[in-house]
Amino acid sequence: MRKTLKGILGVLFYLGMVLAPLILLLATPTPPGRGFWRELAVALGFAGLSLMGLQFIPTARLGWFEDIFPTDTLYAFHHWTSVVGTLFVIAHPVILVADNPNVLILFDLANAPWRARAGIVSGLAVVLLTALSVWRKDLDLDYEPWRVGHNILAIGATGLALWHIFGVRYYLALPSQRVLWIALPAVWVAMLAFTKLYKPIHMLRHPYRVQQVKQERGDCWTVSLEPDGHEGFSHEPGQFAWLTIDRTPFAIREHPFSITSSAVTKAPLCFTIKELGDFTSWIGEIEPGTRAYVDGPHGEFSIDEHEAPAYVFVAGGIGSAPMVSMLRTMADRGDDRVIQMFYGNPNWEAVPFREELAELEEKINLSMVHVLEDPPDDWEGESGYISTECLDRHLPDNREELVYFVSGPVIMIDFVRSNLLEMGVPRGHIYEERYEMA
Amino acid sequence: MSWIYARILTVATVVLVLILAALFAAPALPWV
Repeated sequence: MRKTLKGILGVLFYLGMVLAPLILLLATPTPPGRGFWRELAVALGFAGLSLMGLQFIPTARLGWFEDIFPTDTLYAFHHWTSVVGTLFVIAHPVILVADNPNVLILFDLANAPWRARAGIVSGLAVVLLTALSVWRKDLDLDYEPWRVGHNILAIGATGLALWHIFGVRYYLALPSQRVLWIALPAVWVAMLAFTKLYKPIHMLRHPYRVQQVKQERGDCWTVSLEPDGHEGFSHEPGQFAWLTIDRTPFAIREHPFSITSSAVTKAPLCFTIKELGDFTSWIGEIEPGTRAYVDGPHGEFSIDEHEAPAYVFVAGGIGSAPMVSMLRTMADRGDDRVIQMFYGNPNWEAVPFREELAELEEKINLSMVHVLEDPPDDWEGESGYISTECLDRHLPDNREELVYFVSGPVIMIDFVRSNLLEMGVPRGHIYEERYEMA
Repeated sequence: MSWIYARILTVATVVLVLILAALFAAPALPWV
């Protein structure tokens, strides 16, 4: 119930932030002689700015919002509403020009007034910002430089847009309008300060040191961290954290990783990371004693968040990391609930945590179903992918009543979800962990 | 499940913005 109330308040807050400029416009007496399309373009411009400015909130990783929506959903919401905001921003000049081609004169950057220049550059920055985000992978842009550019473009575009609206002064003459357009940016700046200043300072005061870096199967490494001068934090099994290693927390070089250690103990805090050829390629070279910073815990991909008498875990490769944390925690707690785990990997040698999972099968009520794409000749288990047939062979008859956690590559998650839905598992019983937030 | 709510909220944003913007601009229509 508390969560529902929070959800309603969160949605009302969001709608209030986005729609406030339009509601205020409606409450304002409009001067005569204005054209419909011009007024519509102005309204969409204001809505576009309020929607784009609001984007500083879902990415601020506020616990309050993460209680309502899981982090990956918040990021997805950030993506969708940013695209919508960009379309409103584009619609603003397009409609103005279509309505009155004389407006084109303002696009002559060499001679246009500064307020118009600010608007044009802001609009172009928004389009570039969104295009680079939507097509980051197609453009083969590395995450870190992209993120730096993303921040610069977002802050620049927002600042220039504010310059534009205050410069044009259209529907900004009334005190209430000025108050609104100072209050909204104040909230955005507060979010920015929280993310870029408060959080890094907090992390700086709560550093960690790398205790050990251990090689795992499947090109993975487990990095164990010890809190340095503080107690660390408690987490739920299956949650993740943003990790910065050997860099200042002010550097935009953090990455989200699932915590693999048991939730029963605060330290060491372990992350198992797969070498993917990007920034993760140097994970194995990290020396013990290296300083690290952790922003967490985040997420609700956890058995503690979704109570059930029995669970089914479906993992692909290192997507098993949150499951391993849940299984280790269950072993430490003496939790004897039934767990069935489908675990897809390319081959038997590349199965991360293979030996430990076999040990856990002895300790807790876990039964493993390994699914190998390229099984050895004497393999008697499942091969190929985690298909409907494979799931059907192993799941009990009461499959609709079970709770499912699915984690791994996005393509695998989509495949498994459609298989489960096809088998009659309700959508609300399937929880997914997507690593692709950016 | 939350993805569905987030999608509904995104669509609702588009619809509400368009309705409010049109309501704001509507008095400028010659026949209103």
